[in-house]
Amino acid sequence: MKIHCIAIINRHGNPIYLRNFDNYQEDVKYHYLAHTSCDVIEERLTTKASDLYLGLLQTVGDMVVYGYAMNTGNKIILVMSVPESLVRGAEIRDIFQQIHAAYIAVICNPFNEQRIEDRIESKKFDKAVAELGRIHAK
Amino acid sequence: MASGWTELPDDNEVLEQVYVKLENIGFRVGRRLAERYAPVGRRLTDTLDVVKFVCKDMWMVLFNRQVDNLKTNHRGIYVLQDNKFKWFLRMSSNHGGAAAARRAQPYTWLPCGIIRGVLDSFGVNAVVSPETLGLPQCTFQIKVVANE
Repeated sequence: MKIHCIAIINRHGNPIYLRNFDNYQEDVKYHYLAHTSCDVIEERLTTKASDLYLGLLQTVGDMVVYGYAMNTGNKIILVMSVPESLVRGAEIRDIFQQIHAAYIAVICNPFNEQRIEDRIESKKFDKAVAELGRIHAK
Repeated sequence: MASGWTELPDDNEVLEQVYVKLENIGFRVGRRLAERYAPVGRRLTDTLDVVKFVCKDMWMVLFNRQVDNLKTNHRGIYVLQDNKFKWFLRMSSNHGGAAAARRAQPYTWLPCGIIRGVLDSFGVNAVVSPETLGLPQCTFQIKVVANE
């Protein structure tokens, strides 16, 4: 279960973070995947689901896309390779929660002057995401 | 004049500047608090949900109590009434209640900004104005601005 990409899209649909863990694909491919997932997310949100974790959004080739929508409107998108064995939802959920926690830590940093709608530029956040990528490299 | 009592400056321009500054700081604090304390188990779908979140959860975080009364006309105006606003509990003056209420006004500007910041985080555009009739009572009026 390898993570290919972690992306965050804000309430207005602008990408505020994208991290590509794949050496063979260009970022643009994942931008595309993240944005095609937005429609699916909107659809899921209208169905009154109370959970922030939205589950599997779409399957493209040998990749699966999972989504998570924060209450404040930001969406986290996770692209992974198709798992060989059964995936446990809890595991994916856990990854999302870790990203969410790292995001909150960036936002709540009082020395962070950037506007919340803007791109996330934080070494700490980069590190947290890289760590997730490292754990789930296989 | 009694010691420790300073009248607010007459200069409206100075007060205006203080207001803008405090409100903006509040806004930034509100944005962060919303992100930090946003519920993870449920989803806030409409404006009323968000206002309720402010009344219950946010007020609990800020003042360790909930708002006493929430009124709405269901057309975008919400009035939050706190009968024992924490910051006003130990304020009084020997110049009468009205003078004390006027003097305490600047203390409501930061929470105004916080409310606006929290609402903004959930995509609700609003103007928040405070009103104090007599300490320690305080009301905040939220007027939702239609999103363009």
